[in-house]
Amino acid sequence: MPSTTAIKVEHISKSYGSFRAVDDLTFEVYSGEIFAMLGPNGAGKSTTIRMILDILKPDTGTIEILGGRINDATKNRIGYLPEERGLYRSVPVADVMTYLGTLKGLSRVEARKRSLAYLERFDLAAYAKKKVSELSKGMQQKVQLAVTLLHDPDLIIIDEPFSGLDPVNTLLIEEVIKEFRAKGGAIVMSTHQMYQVEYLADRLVMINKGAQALYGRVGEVRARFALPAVIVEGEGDFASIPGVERIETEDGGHGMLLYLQKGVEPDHVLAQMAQRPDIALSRFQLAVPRLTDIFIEVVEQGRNGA
Amino acid sequence: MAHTLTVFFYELKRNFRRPGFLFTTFGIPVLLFLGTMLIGDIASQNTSMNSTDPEAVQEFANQFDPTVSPNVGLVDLSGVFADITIPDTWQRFSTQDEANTAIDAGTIDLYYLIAEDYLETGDVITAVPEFQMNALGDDALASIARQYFARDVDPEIALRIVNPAFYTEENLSLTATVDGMVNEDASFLIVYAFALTLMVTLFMTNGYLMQTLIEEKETRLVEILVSMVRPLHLLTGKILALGILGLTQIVVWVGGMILLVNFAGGQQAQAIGQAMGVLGSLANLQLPIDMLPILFIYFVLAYLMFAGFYSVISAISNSMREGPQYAVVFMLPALAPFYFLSLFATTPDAPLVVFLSVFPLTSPISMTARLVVSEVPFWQIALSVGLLVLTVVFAIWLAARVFRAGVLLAGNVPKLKDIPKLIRG
Repeated sequence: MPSTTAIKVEHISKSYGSFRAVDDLTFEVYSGEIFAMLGPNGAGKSTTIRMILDILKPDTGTIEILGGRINDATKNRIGYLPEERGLYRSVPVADVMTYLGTLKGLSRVEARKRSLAYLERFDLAAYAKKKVSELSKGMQQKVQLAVTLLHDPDLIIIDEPFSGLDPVNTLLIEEVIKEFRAKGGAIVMSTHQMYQVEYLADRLVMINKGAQALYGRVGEVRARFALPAVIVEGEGDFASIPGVERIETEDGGHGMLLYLQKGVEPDHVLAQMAQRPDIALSRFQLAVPRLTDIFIEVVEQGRNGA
Repeated sequence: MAHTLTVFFYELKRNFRRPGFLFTTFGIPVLLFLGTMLIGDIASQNTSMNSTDPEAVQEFANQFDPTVSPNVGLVDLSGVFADITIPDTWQRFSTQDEANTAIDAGTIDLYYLIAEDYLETGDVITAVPEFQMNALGDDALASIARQYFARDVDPEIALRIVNPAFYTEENLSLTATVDGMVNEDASFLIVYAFALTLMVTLFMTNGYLMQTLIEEKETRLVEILVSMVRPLHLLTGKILALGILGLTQIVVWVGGMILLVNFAGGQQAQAIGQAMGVLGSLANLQLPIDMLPILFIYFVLAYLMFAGFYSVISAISNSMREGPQYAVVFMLPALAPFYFLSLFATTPDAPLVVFLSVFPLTSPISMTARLVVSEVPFWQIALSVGLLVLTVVFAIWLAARVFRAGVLLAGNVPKLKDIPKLIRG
């Protein structure tokens, strides 16, 4: 079980005129976890993040950050990387990093030292004295993430952290995020990259039309949407296995999708196969859908008013 | 407070280093200095004819020996200029027809037809085959005429006829030991100078403020900033930093002007003064020292008030194109007192003048103008300053409120009905 609660959002709502951007939303984020915030465009993710950061006030509900209501001291323990982000373009990279570090409570000397260390780590040391405008989009992205982490926060909120990055830099940022989690930091990551959520995130909340659509551990959420089927690869007559109702080809894969009869457990099917010498099994897997499919299904359900 | 100071020092440093600021603050005065010195030099050369120095007199007299204008014809029907030496390139013609023939043949470019009654009427016709810019001047014939009229006159007297006086202004109050009063004309000049300085400072400094705020909106850095710093602290730091830079700019400019006038001594200074119009007079003014504190108070309060309003505008603007357009809403009332400055001198207690001097948007210029030219009841001063202070507090509070929500409006211009919502956050 995670140790402490980094964010506790309880029944918050926010409206803009007649438009309800966030509707009775509740969730918690724990320290030492990567928490994914998912949802289609305009679902209310950014509004929720802005309320967490005290940029906007909720109409109703309460938010606790790092054990209490947000204040100046709490803000110094948070790192924020918004989706639309930028830096002063005509200022040297290390200078703007130092400035933002001092705003987070670091001394100028310490902020400078840490800035240079991060630039070194992100392979940007040569650009320390160059103007921000001379950096590519991907380089600026890394500088912005460095600024988010510079003051060694307890919680970071990062919106689309991988956009504009090549595979090598994506890997680098993933490492940094995992490191932060390993040190006990809480990460709220808003993204549309579902495959990254699947292997990076511990838990997720999916927001649709301002309300909570899915919430829980990533594996549990996926299992909730699992089909009554298993995916297998190998040789043999799988249709003859007791409990198998029908067989389909795996969508986008090399396996076969064995739909099970009602009440039949996958363990039982696996045991049957193991006892059959005419069946050679190279893969056996629960038919758990990808998050992308779940995302689309939930959004479609929302559109259809289901 | 710590955040305000951090923002203050950073913005001070960042904006001080801007090439635009450095050029405007130091480059323009240096260019003006060099340009004015050049003007002064040229002007002092021109005014040398006013001198009684023998060389200058000789130089002046040499003008009577014209060597100008190529291929000019002279038809002198009056006979006045019959004995006058004309340049080698000039030709005399006894009739207009002869001159016309010469023009047709291309031997002359133009001719002057001196009327028979020239001495009574001064009538001269300049005949040109087609429009010629260089034919519009009358210097060539004027030289001939001067040569005629001054032929029997002593060159020194001729010089005085052309330039009868050379004025030097001296303000006795600057050297008086008992009279510390400032005359009304001088006072009004001070008011005008103060009003202009205030306006220039407001436009420029708040322009910089708007530029930095909109830049942060455009780059979306502002969302990171407001997640760290309260909008009020952020704005306060910026407003103070840019205010200091604005004041620095004004001090450099005014100091440069004073230095310029004092640096160039004697006749050249006078020439510069004449060349620069009011500047020469400003250098000769006595500042009303006892009024400086109240001028300073109004200066600071006016800056803060407009800085607040400019911040509101920046929060709802998406580009540097939009911002200045909205700023007109505040700048027009601020400029209104300029239209009534004469009223301040003639009827300083008129209801309109009293209103303008207590209404916050117009009071900085109006009240200072009244204070210089007349006695103002204390309650009116107190009311004016009090309302201004309240407006400053309101403007900065409003700016912080709107700024918080305004950062989220990238790409959208709020409608009028959205404003209360923005203020509520």
